[in-house]
Amino acid sequence: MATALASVDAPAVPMPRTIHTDPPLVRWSLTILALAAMGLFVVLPLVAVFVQAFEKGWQAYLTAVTQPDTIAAIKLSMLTAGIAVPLNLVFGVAAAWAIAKFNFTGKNVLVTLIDIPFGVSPVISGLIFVLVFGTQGWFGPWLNAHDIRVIFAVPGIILATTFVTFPFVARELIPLMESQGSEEEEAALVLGASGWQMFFRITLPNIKWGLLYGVVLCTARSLGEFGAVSVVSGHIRGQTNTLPLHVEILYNDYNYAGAFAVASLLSVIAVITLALKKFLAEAE
Amino acid sequence: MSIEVLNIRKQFGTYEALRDVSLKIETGELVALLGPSGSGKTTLLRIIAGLELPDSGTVLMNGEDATKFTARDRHVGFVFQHYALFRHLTVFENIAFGLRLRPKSTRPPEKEIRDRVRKLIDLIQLGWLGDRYPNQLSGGQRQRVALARALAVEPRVLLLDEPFGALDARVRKELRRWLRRLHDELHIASVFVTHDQEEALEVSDRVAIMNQGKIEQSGTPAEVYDNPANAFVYQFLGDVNLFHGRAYVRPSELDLARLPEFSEGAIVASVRFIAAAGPTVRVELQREDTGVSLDAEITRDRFRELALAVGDKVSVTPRNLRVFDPSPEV
Repeated sequence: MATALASVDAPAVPMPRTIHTDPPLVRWSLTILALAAMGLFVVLPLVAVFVQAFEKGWQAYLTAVTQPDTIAAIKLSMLTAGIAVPLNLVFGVAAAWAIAKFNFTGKNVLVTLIDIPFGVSPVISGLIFVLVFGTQGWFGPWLNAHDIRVIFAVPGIILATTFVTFPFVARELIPLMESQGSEEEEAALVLGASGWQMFFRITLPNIKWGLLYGVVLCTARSLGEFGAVSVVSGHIRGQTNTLPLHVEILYNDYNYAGAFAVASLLSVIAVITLALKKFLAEAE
Repeated sequence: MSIEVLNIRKQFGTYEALRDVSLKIETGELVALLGPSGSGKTTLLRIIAGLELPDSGTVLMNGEDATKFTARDRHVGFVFQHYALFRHLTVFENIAFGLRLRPKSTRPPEKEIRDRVRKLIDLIQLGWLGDRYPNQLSGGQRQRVALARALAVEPRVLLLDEPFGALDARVRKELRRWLRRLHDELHIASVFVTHDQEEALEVSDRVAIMNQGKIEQSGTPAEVYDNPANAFVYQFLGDVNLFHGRAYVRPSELDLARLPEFSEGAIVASVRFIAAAGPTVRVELQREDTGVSLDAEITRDRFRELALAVGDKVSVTPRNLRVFDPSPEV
């Protein structure tokens, strides 16, 4: 007893605080290097966008972003994301469900297919659709005969965007669903759940944060996609111009203030996306 | 409700999980499926539940072919090895899940659901934890919630996959007894899977010992313990010493004596190690003639009488030698 008390009363030995840290010089120089890189490659360009956008004042900014062509571009981008994201939500959940919960022949092929849009340059992705649906493409003559326009029209833009953003939801969900296994689903089945009840009451609540995360990324990319859309769009102002394409056109017209004003809209979307992403990652 | 499993075969790729398994479980019976891992016991349980389909053979419930029903329509209660509690639902909602799923026509009114769930929560002695989520519970508590959830839908059969596998020894013993009492109150057919022979022998009315996709023997705990059908069963139900390649004897059935008391035909061995903690004393021996190790278990009184020490030479006499055909490998 006496020894126990003595050891409690003994003055605490100061713990060395730097057991696992590097010397201050190394720590500081690495930190400064990282901050400098961050500032140079991320913060500075972002600030530049807004500085340029507001160079000629609020009034000029408002005029630039309320121009009919800009409004049309905003509408088209929203429409594209509004169709591509729900489609990829459904495809992504279905694909992830199949891959994570079942074993079947061709599973590896499916996983590879899902990754193709990530592996292929967006320009190629756009070209694929031109080759399939363009005037000289496989379905070109038939589409022409029925007066349906895909390439250089809105359907092509939506198709290309859907293709490019396909992996986001599925990629997010597959590891999550694999780690969760299927025991909870089996438990629901044994308790009398139908397939849909099992999905909506067990699977969906379990993946909701990962799913939202995937949707946020998918939306951001849908709104920001340039390469593939550029190939299939035809750049018709007020008709087939999405926001990123509109930025390019304004820039090429030497309308820097306008280009940066529209670019600032995309930057705001990016910042919102990051905030949402961080929030969802923490919620998960 | 009785369950009858007839000539079940199941293959996973090239691996034969079950080869021609038949077993009958009567209403009110608690049957243990006992076997080493990979013996097919969990697969058999999942086939009874309808979570897995047999390649051939049938499952009868009350004499009716159940293989045409999916897991959903079999009305079994299943307790998963890792509990599989719904992580996004509270304890209360986990237990209520099966009742809330039902179509309006057969779903009890909200008040009745609440009453039933409350009763079950009281039954599992977690009255104050209804609002907690599964990840806020201990292993033993999760286990009991899983059981309550399975019981809420008033299953005709209760199936438990390694129900106590992940719990520490004390909680395990407690829950084991509790399960036995619960089963007796409910009067349903229950099957549980375990690899722990002590657990199987202590809790169940009948034990089916499985090995490599087959049932080696089934019978009451006393039957299988006293009259093991083959060497595998004998070895799986307790420690054994092997003599001459096919004669087996349990450590507690070896008599030890000081060498002067040497009797004709006794085996001479030297003491290698003594484990004297516990109700009996375990003595590790090495035969002088063949060098083979033997385990003996003697009473504390006998141990004191012999005053054994490591290095001493003793004579070993088997009291009860069992000879099996050298058939199934362990």
